Amino acid sequence: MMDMRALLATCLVLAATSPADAGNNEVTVGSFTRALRSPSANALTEDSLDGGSFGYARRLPLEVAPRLELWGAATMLFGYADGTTFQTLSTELEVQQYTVGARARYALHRRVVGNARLDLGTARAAVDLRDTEGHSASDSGWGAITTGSLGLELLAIAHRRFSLGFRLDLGYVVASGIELTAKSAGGEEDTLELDRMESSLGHLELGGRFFSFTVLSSF
Amino acid sequence: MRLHPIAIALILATAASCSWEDDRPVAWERERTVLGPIPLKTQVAYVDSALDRVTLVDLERDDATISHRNIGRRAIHAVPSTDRHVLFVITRGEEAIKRGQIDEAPQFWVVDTQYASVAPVAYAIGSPFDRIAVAPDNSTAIAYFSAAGPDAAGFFRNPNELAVIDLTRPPGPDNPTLKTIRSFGSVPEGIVLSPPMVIRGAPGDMTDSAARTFAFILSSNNLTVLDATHPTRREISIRLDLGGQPVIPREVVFAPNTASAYVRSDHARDVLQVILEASTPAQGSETATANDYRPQLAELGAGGGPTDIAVYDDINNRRYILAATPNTSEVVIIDADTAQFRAVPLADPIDRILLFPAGGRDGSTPRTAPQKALFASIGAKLPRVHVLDLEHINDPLTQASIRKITLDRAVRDVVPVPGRDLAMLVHDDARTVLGLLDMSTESTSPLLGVGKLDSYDFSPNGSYLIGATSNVSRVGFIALDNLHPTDFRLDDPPARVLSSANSKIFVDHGDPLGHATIIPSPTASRAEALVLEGFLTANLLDEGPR
Repeated sequence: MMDMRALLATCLVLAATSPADAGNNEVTVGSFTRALRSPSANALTEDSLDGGSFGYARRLPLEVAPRLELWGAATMLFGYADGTTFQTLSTELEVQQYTVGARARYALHRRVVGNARLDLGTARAAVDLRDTEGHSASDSGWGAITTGSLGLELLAIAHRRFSLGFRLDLGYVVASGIELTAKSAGGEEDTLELDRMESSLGHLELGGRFFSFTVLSSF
Repeated sequence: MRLHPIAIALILATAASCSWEDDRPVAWERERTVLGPIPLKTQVAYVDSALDRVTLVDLERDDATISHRNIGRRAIHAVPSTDRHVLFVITRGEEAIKRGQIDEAPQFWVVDTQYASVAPVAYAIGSPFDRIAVAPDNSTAIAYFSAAGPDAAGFFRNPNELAVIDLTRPPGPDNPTLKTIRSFGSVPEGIVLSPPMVIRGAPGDMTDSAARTFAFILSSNNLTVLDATHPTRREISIRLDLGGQPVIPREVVFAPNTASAYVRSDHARDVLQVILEASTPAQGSETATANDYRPQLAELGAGGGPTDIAVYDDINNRRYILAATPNTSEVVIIDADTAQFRAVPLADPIDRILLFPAGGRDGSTPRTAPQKALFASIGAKLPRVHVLDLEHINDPLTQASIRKITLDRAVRDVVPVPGRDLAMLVHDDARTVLGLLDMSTESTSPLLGVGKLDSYDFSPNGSYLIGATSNVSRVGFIALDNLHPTDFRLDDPPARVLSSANSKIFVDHGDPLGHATIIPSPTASRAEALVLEGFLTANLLDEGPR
């Protein structure tokens, strides 16, 4: 919840500090796929992390160079992957990611814009392990995340007050390891349970290359 | 021209997507089997065939500690030593077929569970054996194939091949020794290693190193004796068949003071005594392969096809063998030294003999010589047992005192309570109806459970029976002094209960991720218990398979 509030606050600050001209606001909806090939992620899945993203960006009132714009951006991202480990343990991984950052956009053409982006934020990973007889262990945790990408925007509609197009980004995510512990579901909420000592599963590192496709609209 | 940038972008995107898939290391695709829980002295061991490690849960302290020992690929079989301080594991290794796999030969591992600083020792055993026999003094082990027949490992299998491992020496070109025993068409069904035995009259029999271990290899119609301390020497085969039904050796008990063994076989006429005597190698025979002993055989006068035997030493350290011979409707008491025997009429088809007071859980002998023997007819499911006084039983002037105890229900199993004059009687296959027989008063008490007794154990001093049913989240205790029942509510259903040497109760919940409840004592409250979770996948993300 703290992160949601931080994201909303960032959006409001961006909106308040930027000129309110048309084309200074941008919303995005998209999808992404991230190659999870850290040793820890390999333990859970052979698949990539796939999911969707929602973003808002606001042009910053800074004149750096001709045709170069700086934007502040906030992004929510949700990803999911599943797999099988050692042929018997089914695994599920859910990721929520909240980032804020800056993007530089350079107009290559009226309908083609190149961009570079750097985001910082936090990610929550929820892991569930389950065997064929229904035994399960799960846990979730938060970690820091940094995203850098290069992309290309192609605008199908490029009016002065409104534009619509899509963006392709290739980038890399650097993530801190998220410590996870194998916890069983336990009994009903009001059941008195024995003291538990859970063993650490280790640290899950969610970094890796990613590719994203987003539909964007500026207004 | 207007679509040109879009086309470029799509090409880039397609190229990026196509190059996206990286291979996950093949190690994560391994088949995983968890062997255990294996009870050790104050630890419980699990062997993981995918993570290639032994996980030890140490119950010595109040807070259980988890530790790991790395072993080889694909553990297939594990047994603890008699003293339960050492774990022996066979790993079958791996044949590198896919990228990322590494060739590894089958190995026999000695895992010191007491000292984490002692690295496990691996002996290359050459073949993918799946059974282990270990000498009681941990000096020798033999890896061999089970009688189950070929499996996926290997193209050919030699079922009569053995790897004889000298555990007192490090691995080397001559350790282990691979040996194929002579076969007369049968394969080993079991191997029993003797305690250290000295053959009187053999060269060097007065030296400190005179004691040696002998392997008794049991197969249909054959008993093979191998000097496991000198495994390059020829084995000696003893034909057991009588021309009728196959004679299958089932039990071997040893009398190390007289360098002899007693063998009970199915469809055999008598108990076979194998006395190992010194002998001079024949002239011209190779010293390296010639034996300095030979087995002297004697059929000890049971005469009626013994169905069970028990061996004990009386207060004068004289060794006796009790044998049940239903064919002659007798039980026979045999003086192992003189082969003199005494028969006591007993009409029931006895197939289970227990001695009281019983030995400890770790196979230790009782503090005093057995004073009573209990006879039961498990196969015939008779509702009675018999008690024989062993004191002065060898005195021909003393009348043998055998008493019948009539029960309400048939007896399906009899289990001695370690260190106590008590026996647990099981009255049905599902183990739902039990009884406790007090050998002192020769009275029985019924024990009623909530369901099938799927797992049970006794506390080390025999003061509690600890039981569990797989679908009931409780552990039941019966104080065997006064038969007072109590139970302990668990958070999850149990799969197996174990009692450690320091009287802690370890309840395994059958979870391959690792899930166990530790109860400090049979009288402990829930506030004192501890649940361990995830110990079999500890550090899975950080370490992973090697």
